[in-house]
Amino acid sequence: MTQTAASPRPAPRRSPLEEPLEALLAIAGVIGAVVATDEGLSIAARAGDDLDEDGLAAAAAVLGRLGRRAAAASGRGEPPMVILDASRLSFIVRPVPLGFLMAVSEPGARMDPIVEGMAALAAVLPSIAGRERPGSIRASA
Amino acid sequence: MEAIRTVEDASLELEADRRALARDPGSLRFAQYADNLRRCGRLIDAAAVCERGLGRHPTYASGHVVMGEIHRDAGRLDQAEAEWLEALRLDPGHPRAHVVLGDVLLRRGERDRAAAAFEAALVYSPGLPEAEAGLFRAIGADPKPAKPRPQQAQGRPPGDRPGWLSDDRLDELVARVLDCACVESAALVAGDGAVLAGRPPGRGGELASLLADARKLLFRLGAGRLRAAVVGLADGAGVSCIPLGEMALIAGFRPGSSLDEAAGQIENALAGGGDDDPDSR
Repeated sequence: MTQTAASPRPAPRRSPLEEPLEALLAIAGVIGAVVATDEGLSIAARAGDDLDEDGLAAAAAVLGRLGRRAAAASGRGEPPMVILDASRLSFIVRPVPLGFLMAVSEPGARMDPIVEGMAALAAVLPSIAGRERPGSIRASA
Repeated sequence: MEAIRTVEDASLELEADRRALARDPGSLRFAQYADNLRRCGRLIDAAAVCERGLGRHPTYASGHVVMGEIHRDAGRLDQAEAEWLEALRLDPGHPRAHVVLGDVLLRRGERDRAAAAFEAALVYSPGLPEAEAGLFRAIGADPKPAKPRPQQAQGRPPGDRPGWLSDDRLDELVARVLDCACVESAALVAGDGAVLAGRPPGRGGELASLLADARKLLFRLGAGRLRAAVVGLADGAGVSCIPLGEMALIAGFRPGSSLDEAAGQIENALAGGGDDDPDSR
């Protein structure tokens, strides 16, 4: 390596999962998306400057666990999805084999397209995670 | 909001405080005495009493809250804020510290920080009227107001009990929600999980208790007040928990329901109770 101190820093390596997360951000009202481990560590994230990606990953794990408790209390097993709809932001989380997938939306955003987009993404995430060059996917709207 | 007190009441309280402190100079009563002096406009005396008390009890959060209010009344807002931040460092769950801090932040135009302070007060003291009022002042002039959800009735602040829903109309609300095409079960439960009306899907009490965890999480994320928590289930059905003041509405959706339609139908049911009761408007 002959890199000098004056050389520009190499661009950080993007996770192959970040590109498909863009598909979620294309859905009306979605302002952030993250894939996090069960422990709340970020695997991939796409979010605006206002959102802290590490904080979102931690929140995804907490919310996912909250959903599991709620599903157990409802007596109907693992939840495919948890939504917290709040006055400033809404969070939609679903478990995926890697951990949790979470979308963040503006208040008032329609939930059905987001949930459908997340289901489409969740179905292909494991194969994308195993590829070096991911193909583009489009969320169904 | 401070209760209306007569001059005579105030004098009697001040005298009682003064005597109590004279009997036990190390008492925490100094904070109450200083606060009563402040309310009477005797800011110099109030500051002296509070400073002496905090000298003995520097970790007494309520003392710092009162000291901050004395500074605020004297127009020293930076010193007021410093006292309240110290109070919150000592006791992060002090609702009054959050409220008075929120008021000053709002006065300065720092709406986001003010809203966060009021929300924090509500986390630790749900339904606190000053915090509720402050939060809506802070959010009300938000430059990016929430877009209305399709079909959603307007007028009910998130998390509040509808104005028309008196204690003798709980069964009526459950019946209205059960009339929604997307809903197959519904109940109102108290904060302790007790079922007040209807029959919840699954263990409704546990579902209601999850709302408290959800509120805390939203506070930490700065996401605002909880409108609803929804859990989608593997069979395509779902359960929605909607905070209504000190209660929660728990509704089970039919499999395959549209979340947006279900949310709209339930909001309409919550808003519709006043339709036949003009006095409730």
